[in-house]
Amino acid sequence: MLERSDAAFIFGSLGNLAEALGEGWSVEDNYAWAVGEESRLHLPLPGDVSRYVLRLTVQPLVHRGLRDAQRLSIDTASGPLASFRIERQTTIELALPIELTRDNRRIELILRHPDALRPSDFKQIDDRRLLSLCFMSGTLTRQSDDAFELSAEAAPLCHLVVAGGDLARQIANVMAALPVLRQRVACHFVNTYQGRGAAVPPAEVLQSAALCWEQSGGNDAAEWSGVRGMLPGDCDVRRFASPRMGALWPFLGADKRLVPELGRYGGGRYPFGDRVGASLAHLQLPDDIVRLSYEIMTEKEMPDLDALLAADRAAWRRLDAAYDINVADFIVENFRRYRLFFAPTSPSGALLRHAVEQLVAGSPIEALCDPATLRRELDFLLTGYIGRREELPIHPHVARRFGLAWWRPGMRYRWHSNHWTFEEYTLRYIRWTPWRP
Amino acid sequence: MASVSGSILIYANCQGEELLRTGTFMPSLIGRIGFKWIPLHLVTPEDWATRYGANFMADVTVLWEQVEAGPPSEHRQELHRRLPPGCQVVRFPPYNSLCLWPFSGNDPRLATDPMRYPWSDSVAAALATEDLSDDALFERYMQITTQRMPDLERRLRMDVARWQAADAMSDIQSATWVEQRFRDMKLFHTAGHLTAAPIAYMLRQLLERTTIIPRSELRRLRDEIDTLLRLHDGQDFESVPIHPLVAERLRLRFYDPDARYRWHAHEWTLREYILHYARWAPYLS
Repeated sequence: MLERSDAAFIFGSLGNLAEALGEGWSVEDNYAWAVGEESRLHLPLPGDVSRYVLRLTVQPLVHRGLRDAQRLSIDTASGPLASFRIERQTTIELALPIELTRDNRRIELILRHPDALRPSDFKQIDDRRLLSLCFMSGTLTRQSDDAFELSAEAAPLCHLVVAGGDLARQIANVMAALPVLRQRVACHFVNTYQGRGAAVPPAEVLQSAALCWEQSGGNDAAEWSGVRGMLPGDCDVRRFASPRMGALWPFLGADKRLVPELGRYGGGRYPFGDRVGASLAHLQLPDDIVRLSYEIMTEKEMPDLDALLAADRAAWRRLDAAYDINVADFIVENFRRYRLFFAPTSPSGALLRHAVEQLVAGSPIEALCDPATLRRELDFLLTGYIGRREELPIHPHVARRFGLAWWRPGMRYRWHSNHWTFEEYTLRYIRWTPWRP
Repeated sequence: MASVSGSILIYANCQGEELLRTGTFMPSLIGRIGFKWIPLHLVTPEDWATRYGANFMADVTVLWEQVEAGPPSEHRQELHRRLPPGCQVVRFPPYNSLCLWPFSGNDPRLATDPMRYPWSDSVAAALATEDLSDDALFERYMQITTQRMPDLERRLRMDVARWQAADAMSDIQSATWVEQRFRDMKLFHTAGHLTAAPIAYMLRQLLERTTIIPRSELRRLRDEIDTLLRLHDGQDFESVPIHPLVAERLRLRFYDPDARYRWHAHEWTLREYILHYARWAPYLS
């Protein structure tokens, strides 16, 4: 028996059941109390021939030593439907008789609640209403014995293994979240960058996997190579790599202060080194002088950005030649118009979307769903994606030199739960200032 | 640098975790004062037997205790029974605001999936089963919420009354501070989750009343809180957008109609949030 929710009911004056509440209710903003011993509910129905189940979330009025539970029986004009004993917030469920729902637009339910209490009898308040159950919300769910009536495109489950590091994890998260692939594709992420001990899917999953997407780098030393051998011979294996962009951050370099600080900054306090910033770390000068020094030094030492971009482009082309997805043209054509990298190896939603589309294209997944729906869901899922929340600020000179359309002066960058401008980040970096995640 | 002075135990809801996380990153306190947190909304009877035994309590010299309405719960009584002798207790109020999200009523989907969108919106929930385009759904949402907008001044008065009642039970007061500032700066991400400003305010007050902290250090500690939190977003992992009519009716001067609100690994506008919420759409964490 499959189900599909056909209506959501919200009790209370701000909800959508105002016209359905007959006698025996005390309505507040977000809920309705059943008062007295009987309440009437004129529940709207779709008026078709389906069978329906009604679920209602209710909270009983109980008081230790006085009333441990509230009884509730639900009747129709034809007779009793169900009865409950309710001790705590509960979602009750009752199947509505088909003879009362078929082609009807409404059903009248008689709710009997004989254990009502007056709050004023056990609390220092002036509420003398005779209350029993607080009705909060509900659903009306159509039931069907025919699987294809509710899920016309049911298909066998296809196992997808995504192996690799952070990019693979993000791709796996996207694939697992897409509604169009639910009950069609089961996605399994294997963190090969953790080395031995990384959780791997059960053998039966690996042995029946139809697809494997494998991120390069870090795999060799891990147990992945052994696990990979369990994949079936006809498994569609695609390899990809995480593209890196260095041209947007031309001063990346080592900083001897960068060490793991256990319990606070496991990957180091500021994991992206800035060689100019590091060289100013020893200065005991006021903030504005330090900022000015950084500005002067970076202006003087600014590398040839076109050469850096050319080097990035060459590296992307090498990835394109070595692996199964193409990124070079996409990045070159779009990095000025859209933000594609939050940090040198952190893709934005746009780049992540491109990678997923490339991996899906021509794979067995395309046969399992409507590609247009998949693209639409990808757009919806990746709306406003902020990734790992480590946005490495971009030097204003670099942004202007490349003509980044998405950049603006004074732009704030997210660093975990902080929002810093380029200048604020740089000063904090030079000072090696502690920050709170 | 003075020697280790023991641990500060925070008994509070998730706002206590923010105090702990900030305190843990304050350079002057590292290696001297530890922070521990018992989440009052999550603690179970088993926790007292397994996690919060004698060893846990041994070095506690100060309790920062968040107050609650009503008689003391069994957990709170158990906590007090276990405090070491001489432990200083500083009581502080919780912060919360119901008036900023007037449609946080019921959603039947929470009965089976309580964590996906835990900050309910009853109007969006009621639209969930209607077959509408994105534009039509959002337009309908704005239409209904505009028609049904409750008396927000009354809701605000109820919030203020709760803040004052919590203050009356506490050693630290916040009602006036919140009331004077909530129109000018964003203080709440959700009904119970805070931005950094109220966290900083509360932490400063708590440290000032904590006797193991030398008075001579208070200024430096205030500076450290400022460094850590001035540009921090606080408990922003779930930030529920504010309705423009709420901003107008409550005269929220900080309100930006184009603001984006963080939701786990996303930042959404009000429209994007409502569409995702109504459709109960999956998101990335």
